Amino acid sequence: MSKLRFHHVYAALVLLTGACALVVPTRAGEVLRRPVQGLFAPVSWPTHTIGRWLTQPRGGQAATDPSNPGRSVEQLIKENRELRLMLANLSGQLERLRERQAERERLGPVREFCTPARVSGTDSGSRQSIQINLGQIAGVEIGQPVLYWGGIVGRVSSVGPAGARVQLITDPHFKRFTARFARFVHNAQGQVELIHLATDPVLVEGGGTGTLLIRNQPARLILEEAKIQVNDWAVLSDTTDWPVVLQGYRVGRVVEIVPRRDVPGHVDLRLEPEGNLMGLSEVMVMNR
Amino acid sequence: MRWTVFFIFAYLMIGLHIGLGGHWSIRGAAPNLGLLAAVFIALHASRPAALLGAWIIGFFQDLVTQQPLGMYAFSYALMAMLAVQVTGAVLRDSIAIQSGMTLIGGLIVTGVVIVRAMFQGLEGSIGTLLLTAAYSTILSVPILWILTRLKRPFAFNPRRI
Repeated sequence: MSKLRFHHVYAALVLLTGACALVVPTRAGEVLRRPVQGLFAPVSWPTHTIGRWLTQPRGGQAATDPSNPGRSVEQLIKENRELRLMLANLSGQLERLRERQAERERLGPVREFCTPARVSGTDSGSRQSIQINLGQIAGVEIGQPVLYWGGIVGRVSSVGPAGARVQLITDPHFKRFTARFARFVHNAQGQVELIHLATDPVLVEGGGTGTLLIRNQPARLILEEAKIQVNDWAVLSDTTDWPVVLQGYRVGRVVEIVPRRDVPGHVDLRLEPEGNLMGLSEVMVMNR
Repeated sequence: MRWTVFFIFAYLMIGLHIGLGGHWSIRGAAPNLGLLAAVFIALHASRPAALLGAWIIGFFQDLVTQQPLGMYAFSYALMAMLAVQVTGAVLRDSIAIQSGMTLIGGLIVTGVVIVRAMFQGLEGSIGTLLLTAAYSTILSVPILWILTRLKRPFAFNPRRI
């Protein structure tokens, strides 16, 4: 290829991609992306698994006691594991399979509508999304809700033959949805249950960096009437875009309530899902 | 440059990037291994291969992100146009040059997002992109040092013509 011809071709490529990057809507690129979902899974999935093994406690997701998040259950887990090692004669693989089954069963009655999918990687840019190893062949379609043991992960945003991308609820461009507040309490029998607090539905949006935001809420309603506090939960309350069976599923825990300086008497609430959604090893796609 | 080795390299780096992304991120910003791969190719390959190779790596990265298609391909192509001006093997292996090109590449990505925001609205966080650029620049020191010592399979032309 002569020097002159290469520069023509290269200039055309750069101008074309420049036009796509600057002015073309993002969704126009999905035509090229769908067929290659899962293309990098042979490298990304083992890397993701190793990374998760290195960064999270053994035996499952880094968990906190949802009824008392200020106190970690790691001490209890550690003691339990020591007792297991002393008494049990099970192999490490059997223990992992049991824990995975327990994670799936925490989904409750929705479990029968879902198919488990392995997470093979995350977004290659700064957006909040994950790659999964299920695609069109397994009946995955765009828009299907995706769940995990801690609640709602997001929705399928792009799907190819053998893989798909899930847009997380923490992504700033995830479609806003409504939620209500709930709190874990101990009932008369000493059991932990999730009760819904008497509040109007609020609009939840992705805040990026693994967080959710509820903006511009009247402080009187939130703090004085409903007495919303840190460690309360937001649960899905949106039947317009979400299946009825998912109503009440957890989306995030209140971690901060910040008064707005520009709007006196109003507050913003920042929430975080339980666990790191970008570090999940398995999710459940509601494809049935 | 051996294109077979290049494509294997690009595939591995992008795969590692999306596999590790959620685990070593800080406030949503993870080091951009695709950018580091593009800087490595842009600094060491001959001019046509450097320009095209950086573009290809960016295009691979565009295929596995929710961000606009072409964003990384365009950004890495611009970075490569600057990188091919660096002549001299000593300069190309210099930590300062490698880190500098990484930082420039990250800032170009941020700039593209800002310019796009004028037409299509802001997608993503500028702070996160800047943090990604800084994070990548810091990690460019050990990663590009390792890659520089593994460049033999690529059969780069030492005269860079």
